[in-house]
Amino acid sequence: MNRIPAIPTFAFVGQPNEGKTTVMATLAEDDRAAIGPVPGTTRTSRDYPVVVGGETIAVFYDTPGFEQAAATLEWFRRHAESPTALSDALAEFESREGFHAEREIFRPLAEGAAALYVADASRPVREVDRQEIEILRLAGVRRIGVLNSKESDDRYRDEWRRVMARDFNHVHEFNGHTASFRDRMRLLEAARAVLPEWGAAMDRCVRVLREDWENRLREVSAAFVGELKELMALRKRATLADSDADPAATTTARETLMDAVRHREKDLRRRLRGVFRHSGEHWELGELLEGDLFSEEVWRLLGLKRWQLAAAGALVGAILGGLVDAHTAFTSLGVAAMLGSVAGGVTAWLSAGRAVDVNIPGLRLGGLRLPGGRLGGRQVEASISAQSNLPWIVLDRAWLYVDLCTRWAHGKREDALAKVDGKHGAMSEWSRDEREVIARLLGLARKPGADPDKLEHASRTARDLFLAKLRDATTG
Amino acid sequence: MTISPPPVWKLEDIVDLEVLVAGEIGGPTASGSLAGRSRREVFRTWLEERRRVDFPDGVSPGREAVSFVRLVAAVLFTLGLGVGHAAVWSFFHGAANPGVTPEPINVPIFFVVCVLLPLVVTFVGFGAAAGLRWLRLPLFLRGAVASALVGVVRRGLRRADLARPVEQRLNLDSAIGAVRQRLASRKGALSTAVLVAMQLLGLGYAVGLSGSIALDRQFRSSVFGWQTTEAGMTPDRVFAAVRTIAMPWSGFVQPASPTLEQVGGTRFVKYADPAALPPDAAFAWSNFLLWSAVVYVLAPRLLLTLIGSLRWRLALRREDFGDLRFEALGRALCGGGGFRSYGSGAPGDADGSPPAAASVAMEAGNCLLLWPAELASSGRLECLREWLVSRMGWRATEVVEEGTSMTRCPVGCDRVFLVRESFMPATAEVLGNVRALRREVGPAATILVGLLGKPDEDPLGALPRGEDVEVWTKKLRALGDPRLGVLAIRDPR
Repeated sequence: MNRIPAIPTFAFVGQPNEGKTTVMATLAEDDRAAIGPVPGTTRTSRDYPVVVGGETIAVFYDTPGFEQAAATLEWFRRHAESPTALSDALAEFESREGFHAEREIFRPLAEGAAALYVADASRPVREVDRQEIEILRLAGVRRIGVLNSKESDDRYRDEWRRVMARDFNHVHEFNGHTASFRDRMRLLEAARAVLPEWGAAMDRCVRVLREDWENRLREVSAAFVGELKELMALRKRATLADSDADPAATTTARETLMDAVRHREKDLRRRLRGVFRHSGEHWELGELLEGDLFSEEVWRLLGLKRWQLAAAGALVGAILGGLVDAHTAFTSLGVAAMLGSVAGGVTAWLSAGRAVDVNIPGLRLGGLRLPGGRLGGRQVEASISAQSNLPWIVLDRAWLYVDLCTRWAHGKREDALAKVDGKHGAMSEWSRDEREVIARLLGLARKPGADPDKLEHASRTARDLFLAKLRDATTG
Repeated sequence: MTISPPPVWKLEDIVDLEVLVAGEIGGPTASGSLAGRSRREVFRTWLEERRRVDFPDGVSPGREAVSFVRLVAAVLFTLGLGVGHAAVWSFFHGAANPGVTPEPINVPIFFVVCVLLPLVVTFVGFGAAAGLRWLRLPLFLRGAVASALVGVVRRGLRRADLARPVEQRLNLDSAIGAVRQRLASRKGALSTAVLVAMQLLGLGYAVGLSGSIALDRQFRSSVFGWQTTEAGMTPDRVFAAVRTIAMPWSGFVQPASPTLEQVGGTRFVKYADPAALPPDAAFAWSNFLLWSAVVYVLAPRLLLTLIGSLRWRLALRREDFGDLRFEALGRALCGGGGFRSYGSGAPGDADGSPPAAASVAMEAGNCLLLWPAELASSGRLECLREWLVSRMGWRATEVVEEGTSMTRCPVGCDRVFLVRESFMPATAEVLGNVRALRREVGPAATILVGLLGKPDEDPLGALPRGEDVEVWTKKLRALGDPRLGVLAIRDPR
C-alpha cells in the first residue's frame, strides 16, 4: 500500500477529453489550467493546491488521459499479485516509449493520491473505459467515479453508474461546467465519507472552504453597499459658457457622470472576479452584461418595473418628508412625509427612464443653500436621479455578474451567458420589503446631509439583506 | 481542352499539382477527349489548364520551389568548393607556416584524407544509388548512431512539444504528416533528390580540391615528401603503390608519378631540412596529387551526379498519382460509373454534413470491413454494408471484428474500411492499431477510417460532430500514410 499524504490529495484520471481538467479547475477554483475541445490538451501531470489563508487544505492533480489503456491493463494483469504494482508500473513505464501519459497518471497515484475517475455521461461506456476502470482497481488506488456531462444529454448515466458501481468506492455526478459551490461541497463531503483515512483532514477542508465562502459573500455584500453609496453620492460638474441653458455643458456633465458610472462598474466587476478567484474575464458575457449600461435594451430588461420604481420613489419621498416632520417634532402630523411620498412616487413614475439629473447647484453656506450662486463661475452638476432606475440596473448587473462568478465553473471557457440573456433582473423579483431596504439606502446615500447613523444603519441592513440573498443563492 | 501536355513531369509540375489538389479542386472536369488516357496525361492537361487560370503570370508554387532547389544546389556546390579549397589550403599552407619547424607536404596523409576518404564516401553513394545494402554501414553501427541521434532529437522535440498548445501541436503534426504523405508517395524520388543534393556537395568538393591543387602548383613552390613510422614501408613499396595509383593517367600525363629515385629522395625525417629534398620531385608529386583528385574524386562524383539525375528523371516518370488524395481529382476528370464523391473537406457543407478528411471518391470494388466487436449488431452492420455500397460503391465481402489478427489482406481486396466512433478520442493506442493494420495489409491497400456518431434511433447513429471528425482527420494525417483516409459515416437517407 502506498503512503497516504496528510493533506487530502486527488488525481483526476480518465480518458482524454472527458473533462478532467474542467472538473479539476471547477473544484479547485483555479482557471489557470488549459482547457480545450481537442483531446490531449493536458500533457503533463500538474498539481493545483487549494490554499485558504495561506494554508494548503487539499491538492488536486490534473493528469493527461490514458493513451495505452489495453497495454497498461495487460501489464497490470500480469503483475496483479504484486503489492507494489503501481510503483512497479511507474518504474516500468518510465523507460517505455509511448507511455508518457500513463507515467504522468501514475505518478501522483503512486504518491498516495486518491483517483477521481472522470467519465463523460453523455456517451456510452466502451471497452476502453472498462479497461481503465480495471487498471485503477488492479493498481489498488482509492477511487471515486465522477460523472461529468459534457453535453446536456446524460442518457448513459445509469449505464455508467452500473459499470462504476462494481469497482468504485463512490460514484458522484458533478458537471464541471455548471457546478456551484454547493455541488463542490457535496463532492468533497462524499469523498470524505468514502475515504475515512482523511476524515479529519476532509472535515477541516470542508469547514475551511465554507468559512472562506462565507467571507467572500460578506465581501461581496459590502462591495454592493459601498458601490451603491458611492454611486448615489457621485457628482460631476461642468462650467457653463454663457447662459444657464448651455446644452454643451449639460451634455458634458451628464456624459462625464455616465463615464464615471461605467468605470465604477468595470472596477466593481474586477473586484468581484478577484473575490471568486477568476483570474480574468475569460467568458463571453452576452448583451445583457456586455452591452452599454445606458443602452435601451439593458434598461428594458433590468432594473425595477415602473410601478416598483414608483413605490420605491414613494418610500424615498416619505423618508425625506419624514425628516421634515421630525424637524417640526411631528406637529405637522406626518403631512410632509405623505406629500413627500406622493411626490416621490409620481416623480419616479414620470422619470422612470431618466438616469441622470443635471441641475445648477446651489451654494451652500452651512445649512443655508443659495440657489445658483457659486464663486469662480457658474456650473451645472450631474447626479443620479433620486428616483432613477440606474442604481437598480447597476445592482442587477452586479448581481448577475456575481451569479456568473459563482456559477461559472472555473473549468468553463466558452458558451458564456446564454442562460442569463433574456432573464429579467433579480431586483424586480425581490419582495417589496427587500426593495425598500435598498431604496432606503439609496435615498439616504443621495442626500448630502443625511444622518450618518441612519445611513450606517441602512447600510448594515442592506448588507445583511445581500448576504442572506447570496447565501440563499449559492449555498442553499 | 486543347493543350497538348508535355511528355515528362518535372519537379515544378509535381509541386503545382500537389498544391492545387490540396486546395479546392476545380477547373475542367470529365471530357470526351480525355477518355482512355492515362491519369498522368489527364492530370497534366488539367494542371496546364489550372496554371493558366490560377497563375497567369507564370509564377507558380512549383516554379518557386524549383528556384529554391536551385538556390540550395548552388549553396551546396559552393559549400563543397569551399571545403575542397580549405582542405588543400590547410595541408599546403600549414606546411609552409613559418611559425613551426618547416616540413614538406606529407603526400600519404593528404592522399588518405583528401582523396581516399572521399572516394570511400563516393562508393557508398554508388551503393545507395544501386540499392546495394552491403555498402551501407553495418546495422549494429547504424542502429547505435541512429538511436543516439534519435534519442536526443526525440527528447528535444518532446520538450518543445509539451510546451506548445494542443491546437498548435495538432496542426503542426498534421502539417508534417501531410508532407510525409507526399514524401512517402515518392520515396524513390526523395532518396534520389537527397542523393543528387549530396553529389552537388561532393562535386563542389572535388572541383575545389582539384582546382586548388592546380592553382598551388601554378603559383607556389610547395615541397612534397613522405614520412612514416612503419618500418616495412620502404621507398620500393611506396613507389609501387604510387605507380599503381597513377596507372589510369600514366598513359597521357608525364610525369604521372615520381620515379623510384624521387620517392627515395623525398622520404622525410622529422627536423630535417625540407630544402634538402630534390626540387624536381615536387612537380612529379604535385602532378600525382592533382591527377589523383581528378580521377579518384572528381570523375566518380561526376558519374554519380549523372546517375542521380537519371534516377531523378526515372522517379518522376514512375509517378502514377495513385494515392488516396488524387482519387477525387482522378474521378472528377475521368468520370466513370460506380463512384460516389462526397465531402468537400471543409467544415460546414451546405447540407450540414461534417467534413471528410479527404475528398473521397473511390473506384467500386470489394473491401474488408473492420468493425469493433462492441458495436456489433446485425441491424447496424447491414445498414453499414448498404451505406458502403450506396455511398462508396464498396462491397464489404468480409467483416472482421476488431482484434482479430489478419495475416494478409484477403485476396482481391485491397481496401479496408475501419469503423470507429468519432466521439471517442484517437489515442496513441488507436493510432498504433492503425499502424499495425497498415503493416498487416501492406502499403498498397487503401485504408479508410469511417467515423460513427453517437448512437441514436438510427442504426448508423447520429451525425458525427464536425469538430470530432476534424480532430480525427488531423491525428490520422499526422501518421503520414498516403493511402489512409477518414470520413464521417452518415445515414444516406
